[in-house]
Amino acid sequence: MIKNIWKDPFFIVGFLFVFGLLIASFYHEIVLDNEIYEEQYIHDEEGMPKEKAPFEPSSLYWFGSDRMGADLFSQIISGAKYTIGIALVVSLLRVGLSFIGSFLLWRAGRVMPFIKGLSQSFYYIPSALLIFFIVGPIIQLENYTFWEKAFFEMLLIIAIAVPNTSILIKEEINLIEKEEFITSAKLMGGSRVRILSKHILPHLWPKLLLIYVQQVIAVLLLLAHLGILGVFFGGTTMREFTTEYEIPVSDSNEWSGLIGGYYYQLRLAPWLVFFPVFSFAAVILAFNFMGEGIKRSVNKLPIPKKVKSKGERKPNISLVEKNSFVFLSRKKTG
Amino acid sequence: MPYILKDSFLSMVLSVVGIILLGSVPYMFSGMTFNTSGYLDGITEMFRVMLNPEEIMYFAESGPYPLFPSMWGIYGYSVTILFAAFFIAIIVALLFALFIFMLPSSLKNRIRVFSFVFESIPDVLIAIGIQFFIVWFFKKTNILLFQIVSLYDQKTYFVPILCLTILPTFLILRILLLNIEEEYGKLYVDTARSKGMGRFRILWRHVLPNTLLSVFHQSRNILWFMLSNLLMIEFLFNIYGITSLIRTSGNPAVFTISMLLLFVPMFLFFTLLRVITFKWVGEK
Repeated sequence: MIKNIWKDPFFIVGFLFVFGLLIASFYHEIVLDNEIYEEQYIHDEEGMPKEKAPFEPSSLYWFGSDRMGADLFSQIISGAKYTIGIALVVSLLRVGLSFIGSFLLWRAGRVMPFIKGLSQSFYYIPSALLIFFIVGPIIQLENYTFWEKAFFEMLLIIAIAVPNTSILIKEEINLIEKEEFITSAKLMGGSRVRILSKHILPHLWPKLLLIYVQQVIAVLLLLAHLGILGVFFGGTTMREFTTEYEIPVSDSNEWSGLIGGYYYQLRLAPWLVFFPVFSFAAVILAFNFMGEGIKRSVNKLPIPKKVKSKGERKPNISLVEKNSFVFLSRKKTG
Repeated sequence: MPYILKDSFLSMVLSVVGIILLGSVPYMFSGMTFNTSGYLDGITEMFRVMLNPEEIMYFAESGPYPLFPSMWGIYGYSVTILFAAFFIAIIVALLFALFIFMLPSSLKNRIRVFSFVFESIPDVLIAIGIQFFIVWFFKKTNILLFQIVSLYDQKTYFVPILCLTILPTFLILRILLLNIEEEYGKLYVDTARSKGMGRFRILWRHVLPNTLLSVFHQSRNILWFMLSNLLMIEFLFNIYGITSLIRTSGNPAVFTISMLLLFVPMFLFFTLLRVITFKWVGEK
């Protein structure tokens, strides 16, 4: 059951990675004061400038640096909390709203085929394109603050997944409803609320958890896509690069913002795009591991208490000792 | 059979309506506030435009152009890439599955983990990776393996299809491997074996058709997933396909008509699959 996940190696590996990344990100924020090492020139021993930013990945700059000379590795660590945080919160809201939606659909009856048919249309439109198409014109407006735009975009990202996830959860509920124990609970006179809370929900939680993890992965992918398309969170400020030339810089170092901000340097300094995308890949992989761990442990019964192996099971006292019995003929009588 | 046609027709009508509703969403917001009456007007306007598609104009830098018939070339290109990649992915995944099935089981598990890890890689990373590989290869050897960036009149097929094929292949491979294993636990395999049928024959004649069914069931998800990949690949390789058209025009009418056009072949394909599965196993 669901408690087993803490014993599943897949889940633990994925969880530790994400957790470690978050810890590192908060450590960077709180202890290191969110400082990102920035130096436009690398000097040699005599103090003469040797190289000019952007630097390639090296032992000093693990992931390379941008044109300001800011270390990309620290940027990624610093942005991790925003990206992962957005993904976690957005998917939580997606699943939460869909959960409520699934109850509305539960007794929809005859309207259900129509709702299902309408929501099918989401399957023919790539979600990143839909968001880009709706948000694109609005984000260019000047009269909204950054937070309003980010909030709006997040609402849209949540909204587009709710119809289909509701249907998915509703179908899971229907599957559980077909089980025999539900029938017997009904025969015993259980009310609908009781059947729902005592018989359906306990079986639904693990599935919801799995759906949640899958939604996190979907949101992360969507964020990466939106980053490439240049519709991104994170806030942009123009920073002076040379006296008359300004380049966009991400405020929060949020990953899709990093991708979007650095995308135009793809040919010049490919690592600037590669590593944020790579970080997305790593986190998605970690969440996939967690999902796999959940899948594997949900089907398992509770792990039985450790059964001793054959070797251990041998009793310590040897029942038959060498001199505990003797043949009668040899026994000295009398 | 009549049930399938009736149901498919219903879902087609509803999907078309759904796409039009989604396409009119930009009318819903004026700035960031909801504008319900604007949305309703937008929907009626959209329905009207969809009935007269020749009116749709496309705004390029040099002025407005009618969308049709110049759209057909762009559309055909994207659909070719999408479906070519889909079918290649199915065939390659099938071959891989057969090959992996022949391997000893210790290797099988290792491959399963490998394909699991590979499947998690986002499409963006693969597209960028392939691009860099080609550039790097070109710098090292001065051989341009493939045309990376396509110009307007010059259409590249190989690299985009390759990029689009990789991830679905792993996805389908995983579905196949999981289901082959599941099918092997079923009784009919034991029956076939007890009758003395060969291992490969059981796989080919009995197990594989059944596992293909599960791929068919998943095909809607796979194609949807490939659509987002198509968006990324068209952007990264600078291909002028249907998603680029939508991206650059930003016009709700263009968006809706493109999505409807993209919907048609996908929907026909799914309906065909349903009919085939019905004929095959009598499944509605």
